[in-house]
Amino acid sequence: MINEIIRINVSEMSYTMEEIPEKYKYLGGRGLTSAIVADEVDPKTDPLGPGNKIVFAPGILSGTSAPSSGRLSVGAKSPMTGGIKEANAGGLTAVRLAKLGIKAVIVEGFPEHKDWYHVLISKDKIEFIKANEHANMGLYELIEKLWKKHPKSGLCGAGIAGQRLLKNAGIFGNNPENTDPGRYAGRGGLGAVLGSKRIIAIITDDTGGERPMPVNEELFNTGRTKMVNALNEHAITGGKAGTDKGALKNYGTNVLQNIINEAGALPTKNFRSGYFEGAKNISGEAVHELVDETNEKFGDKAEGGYGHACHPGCIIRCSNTVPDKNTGKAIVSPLEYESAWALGTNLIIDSLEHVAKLNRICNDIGIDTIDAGNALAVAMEAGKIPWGDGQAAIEFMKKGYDPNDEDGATFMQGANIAAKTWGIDRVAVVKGQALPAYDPRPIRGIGVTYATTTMGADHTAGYTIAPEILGSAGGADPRELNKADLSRAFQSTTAYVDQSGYCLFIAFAILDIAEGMEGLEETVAGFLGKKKYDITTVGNKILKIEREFNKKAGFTKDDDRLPKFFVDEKLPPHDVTFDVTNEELDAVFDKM
Amino acid sequence: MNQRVLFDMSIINIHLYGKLRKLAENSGSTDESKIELSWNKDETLAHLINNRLNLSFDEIGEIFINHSPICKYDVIIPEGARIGLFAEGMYLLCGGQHMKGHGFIEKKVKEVDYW
Repeated sequence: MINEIIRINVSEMSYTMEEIPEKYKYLGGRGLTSAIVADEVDPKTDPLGPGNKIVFAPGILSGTSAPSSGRLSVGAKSPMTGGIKEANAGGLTAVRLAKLGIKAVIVEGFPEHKDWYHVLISKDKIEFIKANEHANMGLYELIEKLWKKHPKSGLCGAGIAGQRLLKNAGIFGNNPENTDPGRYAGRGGLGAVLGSKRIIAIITDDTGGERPMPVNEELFNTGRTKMVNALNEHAITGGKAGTDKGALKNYGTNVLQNIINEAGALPTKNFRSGYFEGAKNISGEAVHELVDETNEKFGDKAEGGYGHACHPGCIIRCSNTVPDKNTGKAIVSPLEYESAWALGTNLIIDSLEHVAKLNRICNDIGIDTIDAGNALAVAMEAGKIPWGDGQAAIEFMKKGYDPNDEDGATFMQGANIAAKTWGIDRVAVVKGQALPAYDPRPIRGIGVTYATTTMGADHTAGYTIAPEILGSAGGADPRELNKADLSRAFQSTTAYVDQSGYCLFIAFAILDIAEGMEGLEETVAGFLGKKKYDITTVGNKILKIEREFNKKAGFTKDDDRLPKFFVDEKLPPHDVTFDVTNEELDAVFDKM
Repeated sequence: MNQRVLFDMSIINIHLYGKLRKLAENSGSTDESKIELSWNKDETLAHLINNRLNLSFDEIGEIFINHSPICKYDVIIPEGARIGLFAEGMYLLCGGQHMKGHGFIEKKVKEVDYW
């Protein structure tokens, strides 16, 4: 392992390469981005000012032969929440950086010039490339142009919204085929932080790089085999695309559209109901059927698909490509559950074509789909778009391309600012960030996570891993735990997985199959050359760092609350409110 | 006077998903793939699945009765129930698993009234 940190100073347009400090030696991904942000960024600094830094870090195992481990974490002080932020994604960049021996890229400083740049990272050099001609360019066009000059490179960066410093700007990433910029570290406005540094794209070319090698190869390989077996064996992550086996490979994450709907917890029409009659039309099953139809109709020219890997080495392969029904050409890749919900169900839009096109515009202008969908809901509340009108929503979203359009700019700031600007009270946000696709009233455990995570409302912050396996439940039936204990255990484990580089969907295999959990522990410990790398200890440490940052930034317990309408308004069909007490919410971190 | 009947409590509605859709007349992904069966007093979910739908447990993923997730097959089906049956491999993911209070379907956990 080379283990270097690259520091890119945009004030001086220079860079340095540093050996990773001892204190960061066993960190990666979210653990590393949050540690660096906490150590180097003043919690009270302006997120879009000179004091903020944005950090890109591959997971500990990214670039290795560990399956589904190529996640890239991006961290900074968030312009959307005002707190610490980590968002992660697949794509190519994590694997490329890891093969160059780079543990983190820190972009810091503040440019006085008004030019735009790309940063090219390769084995022999780091180069600033003036890129004014690429400013305000749609990302589909941009990634195509960049690959012509830098084929096979990992691309990530800030799109149109980020370049305009708008707060719902995500960090885009190209997919392995470079057909779509949709591998987003989307949440929290990190694209605006990169935009404030006048950087459009980070281009990573790993030519001449080598696969990172574990310190204890034998232990790593033992663990790797176990993890591969567990992922392949498991009903959710295993199977094969195009067969009856393997839900994620066939339906993607959008398998959830029908499931959460049947659970009565699918937020519909800006969180007014838990059930949407049209959900089936935009479900993973509908995408699957459309892909099969267009493949049959258009043969080799068809571009739709499922069972697609979002990064090299992923064997879960939950990504997909939604084709145009009439041409077979790709509209967008992927269409995730959260995006189909935000741009469909929550707006009562049940046209798969409209939802896919809305997602494509988000990808093209560089914004997070969850907050975008919530912002569109606010626009519908304000009467700017009729409820359920997909074509009108598309036309509205296109306003984002026009730098002089006020509605377009407001919408790209995210739901919270859109609501304040347009005078709408009903907006589902925590710490300024919009809620994802699980209503917290029937699913109170996720509500606790939405309320208390340092990240703002985020379903991935509290991924569900059985606490009894983590040893935090004392062997008790986990459903006897209160929601605070449950949420804490989930948040802690998620932080650990986010630092490993593994995709969160390994959770099923490590939970249900003992060999899978051993595989997780052994691959990480084997790679780092440690005997043990305790999941809960490491996860809690990351959470404490992040929590402390937010405390210094001025967050209090009052920020760990859901919007009032979740407490006051019953959600059909269960007719329940969010009745978790404030004391229980506060216990998540008080007891850690 | 015409009186609209909202629910026929002697019927159970079974909504099918994934490969289980094949049991219904309208089995496309955008169709409402549903079958209606008579409600039988004291019938368990296991009996319905094995004997009336002729399915094995291995073919079943997530199950909902009246929009609530079900972990055990020995629950008694209530009158007029709406049952959501998903094919094997189709389970609650991510935040949805909070409904279960644990990571994945575990058929042996004791029944807890989540609500």
